[in-house]
Amino acid sequence: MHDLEIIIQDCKIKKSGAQKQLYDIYKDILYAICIRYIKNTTDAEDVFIEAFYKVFHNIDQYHGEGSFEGWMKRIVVNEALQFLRKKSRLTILTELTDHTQVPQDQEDEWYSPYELEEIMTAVQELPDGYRTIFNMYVFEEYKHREIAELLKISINTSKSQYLLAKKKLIETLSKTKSKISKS
Amino acid sequence: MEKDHKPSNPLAEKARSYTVRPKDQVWQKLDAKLTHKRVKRRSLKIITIIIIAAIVIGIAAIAAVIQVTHLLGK
Repeated sequence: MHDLEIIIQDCKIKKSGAQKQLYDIYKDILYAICIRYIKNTTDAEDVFIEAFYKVFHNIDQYHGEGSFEGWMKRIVVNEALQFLRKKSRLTILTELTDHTQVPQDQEDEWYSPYELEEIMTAVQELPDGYRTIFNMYVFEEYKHREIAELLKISINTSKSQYLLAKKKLIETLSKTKSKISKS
Repeated sequence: MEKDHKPSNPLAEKARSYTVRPKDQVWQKLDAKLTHKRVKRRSLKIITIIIIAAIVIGIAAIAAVIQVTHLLGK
């Protein structure tokens, strides 16, 4: 049996050593997701702890279909969304029906001049609503239909918020870049 | 909503390497939560065993009393 499978089996029988091993393997990846969704570090830590607790609590429900990492990531994302909903931080998502307000999406590689670190920092600076949709669409690769279902908004709102988020992100990134080049 | 496939968008692929290390205290908090749960589960098990044992002893005692009363009655 593969090492990870053994760890998972041991976690299913609640072996604390295995739980620590699993935590050590995935902590950095999963915490990075929390940080992407939640700006405040203390809140992100709370969400991360709760999500990992749910991973251990529900590990019996993982039967090996799909990747284990993907299964855990979904738990983390759902926990982050639940947190944002509870704190009413997603209420700023307004329906945008007038498409003239929304920039046209260009499937160019707008991110190519920037380092990943710069992009991630800029993503964190986005307002909660923009950041959530941007994260879900770009990094988690949810479709707008899925985002709309999960956040209980319309598909159009999801699309427009994504485009506006992207626009704001590019603005922030280029401002930062020009500041750096001036100094 | 399976998200196990290789990311189709290059930024998502790039972001896979993005990691942030949580503070060491985070594991301690999580471990305390898990330990609390384990202790709670163990206590619940012990309480259940005690209750079942008490019921069995009680039934046995009642049965013994009935038997003795029956024998004395003869």
